[in-house]
Amino acid sequence: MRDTNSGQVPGRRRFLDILLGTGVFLWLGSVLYPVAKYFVPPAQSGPDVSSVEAARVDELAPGSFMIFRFGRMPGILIHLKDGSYRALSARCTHLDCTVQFKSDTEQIWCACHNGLYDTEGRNISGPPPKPLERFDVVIKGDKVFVRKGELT
Amino acid sequence: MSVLEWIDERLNVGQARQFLLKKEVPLFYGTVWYYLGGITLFLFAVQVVTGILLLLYYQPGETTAYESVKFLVSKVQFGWLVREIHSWSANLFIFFAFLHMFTVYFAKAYRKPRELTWVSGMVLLVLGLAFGFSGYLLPWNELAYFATRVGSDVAGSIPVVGGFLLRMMRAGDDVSGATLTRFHGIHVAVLPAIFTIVLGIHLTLIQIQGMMLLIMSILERVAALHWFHLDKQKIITIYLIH
Repeated sequence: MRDTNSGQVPGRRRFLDILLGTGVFLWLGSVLYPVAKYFVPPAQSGPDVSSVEAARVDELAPGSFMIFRFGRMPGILIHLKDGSYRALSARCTHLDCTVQFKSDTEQIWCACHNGLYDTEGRNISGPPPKPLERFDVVIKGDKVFVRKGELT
Repeated sequence: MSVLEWIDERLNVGQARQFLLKKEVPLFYGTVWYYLGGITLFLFAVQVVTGILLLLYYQPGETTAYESVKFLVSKVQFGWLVREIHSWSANLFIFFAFLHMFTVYFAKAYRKPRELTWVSGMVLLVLGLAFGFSGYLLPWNELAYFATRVGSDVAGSIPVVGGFLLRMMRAGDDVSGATLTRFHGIHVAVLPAIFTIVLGIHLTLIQIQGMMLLIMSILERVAALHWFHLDKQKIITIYLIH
């Protein structure tokens, strides 16, 4: 049997203890660090949505419009009098108010500061500095899908 | 110590502590064949932890599922890691569950008094495969979609009840958003609940009955006695046992 007071064994044991302790500590850190980081919400708080089912065909009469959720922002879907659909971002380029469609003048209007766009989304009057973003409209069966497209 | 005494006074955990301290295990429990169940259990724990983490960002739904997975792996810090671990650990879980099953089978450890452990283990295996099948749809990509279509078609080809099963699985006539919602609910709530109960039974049975003295014990004894004919003896012993 070894003499545990010789100084040799405690030294080795201490070394092993430190080695094991450090190992366990590092291992815990390498597990907990990614988990902690994972909990931190990214700058962008949700996924980009590239396509969304905005409405049913029978839901929207010609000349009317609706606001729909497009991921994290509002979109506007307009059923024009000629029967075609138009989808745009509903966020006014001036100060992010939600726009609406005036069917009498066939213009998109922002109530906040009287900004006006035409049905193509071009800013034609008032403070808006830029046109509204256009989206593609795809009709599949009786559903109207809106998607971020390359075709615009 | 006083905390333990405080708890012990109220809950009488002394017996449980005694059990943990004086637990009997076979001397040769170091053999790798005893690790497989534990490894499978560990991988299940990994699945639970990473699965809960994934739930923080995953958004089930026809239009959001795919996008949220993409968001998770590209924008969330270490999101890719959590998803990969969940995916890898899932595969390894099935692999080790099968190894575990074969070990038990070839060691004939399913015999009396351990029939219930074997049966509960088989239930766990089936539940594990159901976990895999339901989880496969959740990324909501093309591969997932068609795998689920083909998989549910297989169930649909069963005579008489096939059509009913198919509709039950798909929550409709075709794989759709409704299927995704259903599979998600099954994957994160229904299966975990059932699995936890059966796993509890499985582990309790093992604790009650103790580990089986595997062929290894005989092999080791043989090896000790006949050092020089080890290989021949091994072959003969295995032959005799089966």
